[in-house]
Amino acid sequence: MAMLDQIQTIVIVMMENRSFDHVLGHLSMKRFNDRQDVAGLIDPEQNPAYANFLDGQGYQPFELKDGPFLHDLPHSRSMVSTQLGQAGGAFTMSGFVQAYFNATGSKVTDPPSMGFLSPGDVSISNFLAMNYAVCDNWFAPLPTDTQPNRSIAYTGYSLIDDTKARPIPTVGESFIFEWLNTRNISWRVYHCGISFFTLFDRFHDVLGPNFRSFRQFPGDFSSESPSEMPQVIFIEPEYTDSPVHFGWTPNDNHPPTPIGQGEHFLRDIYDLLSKDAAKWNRTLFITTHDEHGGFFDHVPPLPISAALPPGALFSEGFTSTGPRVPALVASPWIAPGTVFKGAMDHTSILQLLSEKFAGTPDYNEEVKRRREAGIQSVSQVLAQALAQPRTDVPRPPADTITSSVELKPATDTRVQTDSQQAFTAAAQKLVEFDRPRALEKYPELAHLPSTPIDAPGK
Amino acid sequence: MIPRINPEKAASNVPDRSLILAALLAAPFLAGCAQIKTFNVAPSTICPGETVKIDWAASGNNASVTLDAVPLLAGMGEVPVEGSRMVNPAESTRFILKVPGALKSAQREWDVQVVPGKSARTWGGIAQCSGQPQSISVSFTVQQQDASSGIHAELVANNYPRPLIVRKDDLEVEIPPKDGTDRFKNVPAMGTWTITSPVLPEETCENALAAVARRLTVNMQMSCAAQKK
Repeated sequence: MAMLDQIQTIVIVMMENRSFDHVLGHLSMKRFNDRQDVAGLIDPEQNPAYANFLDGQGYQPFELKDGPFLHDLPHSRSMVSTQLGQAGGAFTMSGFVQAYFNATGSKVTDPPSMGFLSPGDVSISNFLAMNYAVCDNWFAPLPTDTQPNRSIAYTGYSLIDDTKARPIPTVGESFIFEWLNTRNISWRVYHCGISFFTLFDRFHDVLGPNFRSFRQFPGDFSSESPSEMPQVIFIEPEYTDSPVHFGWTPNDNHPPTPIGQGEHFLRDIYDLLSKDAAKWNRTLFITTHDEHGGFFDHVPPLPISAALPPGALFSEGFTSTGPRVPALVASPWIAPGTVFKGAMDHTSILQLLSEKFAGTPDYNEEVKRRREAGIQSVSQVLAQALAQPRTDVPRPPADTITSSVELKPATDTRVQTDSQQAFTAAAQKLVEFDRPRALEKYPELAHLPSTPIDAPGK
Repeated sequence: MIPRINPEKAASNVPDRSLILAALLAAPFLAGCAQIKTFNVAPSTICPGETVKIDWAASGNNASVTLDAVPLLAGMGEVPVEGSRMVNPAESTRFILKVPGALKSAQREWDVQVVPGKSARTWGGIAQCSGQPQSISVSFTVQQQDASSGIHAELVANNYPRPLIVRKDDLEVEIPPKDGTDRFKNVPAMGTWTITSPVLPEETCENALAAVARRLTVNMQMSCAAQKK
């Protein structure tokens, strides 16, 4: 696509664990943005099509005030299956309350899994949706939790179907960094605390020059000319499940963390990317979420199966995507209020990179298979692009964050989750791999408990 | 701007590594992982003056298991690791069981509604299509643990643009589209209800199910039966 020639830097931010309706469902509600062109929530408190059930009682979506959650929401493969529900071969999206009760044992009037946020609590996501493009058919590729979905995002494949404390296995030569290196594409990762890529056992990369603290981003951005900037930039938040938070407040949106700090994080990225018009005109900023995190969404997943690659550590293949996740694309080439309704998932990013840098959307065989099943490239968002870049640079709302989280020590109550254990184990291995370099790059790991944590997972 | 960080404050929030290690090593010998085996409050919907029963069983630091209520209720606070208690909430109340642990705490919440506070409620379930002539229907049971025998169905509303036939025991009422009925006002909410909607002449079963997003519900305004004198 010729339009892609205008883009020099692609910036990718993947947040954690929120559904489309939870974050952006308000866009179509009359009392908020009343965007009938967006497949969000319509009259959610009354619409019987959204009812979820527990012991015969119906629960409707409700307006949730952002804040810390009492519990993480369930989103393992089995819990997602409960959430999606099935009747007559169709997904009913009716089990989000049942799954919450099964996982937490709590029976409450307003289960958080049915909560949606108002524009005031997601002011930056709302701002990006209103001023650039919202993709309202972007799905997590698999109906399960973090590690398999991020594996698809960075390789196209997943050899696992759950999140555990083990190096995430990958299909050879599929990993995004290898793919970019092979094609001499410059890339960089800016991370807050420890990078998620540590969990892929990519210690040489994680300790290498392409990985930099997010604190270095403003300086790099200012000092590098457009031609010096990396062609692909991944920006990572501070993960809630990181074993040590040192100097960063969790801002990845993963419950129990509120969403306010994540909105703050997105605003900082947008402010920086858009402050230099020459660079902004050559930038495409994509932000999405790895999976729905247990929050209700009313749109059934796509019936797109996932291949069971040789060496897969599970035997029952997936027959659908996961639920929808929030996805926003910003660039001065995009008109305000754009809605892209094509089917997408995380491989839409791999298609984009492959189109841009290899001349074909088929990053690998699995990405090709998903494309042939209907998944479209992010480049299609630019099919409606403007003839010239916009000269206005809308400014996001001022600091309107209403929630906060306190820094917690490593021994807090979440230390037993599988994801927490996975982060801890990966961080320990990173320190063992090269302690001086690991501590130089991630000083917080000096506070990492060296004793293996052997506690039951959730 | 990137997030503003106060390194001194951040550092002060990170415990000394030796303390972490000590906690981790000592935890298994103390009360490492708290667990709540059961926590149940019934009925979940009551009339003023009625009693709810709270049952719980936990493991962990049994010296400090707490049962709280919001708003406050007399008799709450530290409780045994297992137990049962009868309480009489005058208004809608959240009960919270907390079991602290050195590594993992546990907590569960349970809401009790006292009618008339927030007394409208949706009931229903996933519908199926069957019969001749064909209809879509669902049955659900309001259990004793969900609503006390004093809770009645003051008004039953149909939120669909299609007629519903609602049946409870021997009483069957057709509710026109987007309308309601008070014919169940002397009928206890507790028990088995059936909601049916005929498949229209121009519909197939699949069309009819799709039209209601595969679920059927009614909105029930609940009230308390007149108290006996």
